[in-house]
Amino acid sequence: MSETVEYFEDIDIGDEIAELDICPTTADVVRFVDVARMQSGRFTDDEYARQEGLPGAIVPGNMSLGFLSRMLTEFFPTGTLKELTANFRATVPHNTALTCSGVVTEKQMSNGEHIIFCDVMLSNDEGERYVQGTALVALPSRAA
Amino acid sequence: MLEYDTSLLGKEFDRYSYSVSKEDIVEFAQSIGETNPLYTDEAYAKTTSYGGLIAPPTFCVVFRSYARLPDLKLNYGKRGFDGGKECTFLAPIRPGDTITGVDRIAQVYEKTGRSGNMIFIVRESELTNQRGEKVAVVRQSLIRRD
Repeated sequence: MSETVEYFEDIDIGDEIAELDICPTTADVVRFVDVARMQSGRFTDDEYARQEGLPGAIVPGNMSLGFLSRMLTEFFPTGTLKELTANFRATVPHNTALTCSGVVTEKQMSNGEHIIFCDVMLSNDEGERYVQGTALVALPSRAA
Repeated sequence: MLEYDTSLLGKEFDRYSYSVSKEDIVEFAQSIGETNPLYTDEAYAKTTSYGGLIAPPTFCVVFRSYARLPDLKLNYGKRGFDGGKECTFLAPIRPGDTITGVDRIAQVYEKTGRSGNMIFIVRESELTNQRGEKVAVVRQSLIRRD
């Protein structure tokens, strides 16, 4: 599979989306929570997070959502992300190598749009899934 | 067996507005490492079909309500955590936009899992721009359990 896909006809059910490898540091999280107006000690302060029963400061779910969106828009540069859902299955620690990945599960033409359905996930090197979700991307068609 | 105040379902409980600057969009894009210049480079963005800079899709999460959920009078569920999000992206968000959010409790339901009963409260935020176009709907699942 190539690193990007531009047209609906160029991708099939079962095809994998090019993975996005990331490793959000504490500094990255501090920057994100500032711009996303999510300031809370649970995201940036290990001690505060432990008092809340967490193992340490965690990566916000909204940041994980942002990484999944980035993987999709980088892989489908001509596409439009229509929907993104994410279940937060486990808390995501800072300074951990993470991989966003995805696979195409369905293709559909509806209301004049060419839509790709995908399963997406965020996991660590051991395959532990922190976030699991789905996405819908509209792509241009060569026939249009 | 779940019991709660059903009269609050679907009722608006918060309304809030934010203006969006180019800097807000660029900083958000950079904070998640976006590489697409559509989100960061005005000159490039003008050459695209969008005709100018737009925000990355999940920028819609920055329009935060600080209102607490209304008291649903749940009969259990002392502890709460974020179970997930569903975002529907309907129109691009651009610099200069004023985005108004309206929050409602869209759904309350109970699930039984390996660890017992859990209550799911779905908080729906509908985001509209200054032209009255709906730009996104964000549904957040809050899980409550004892």
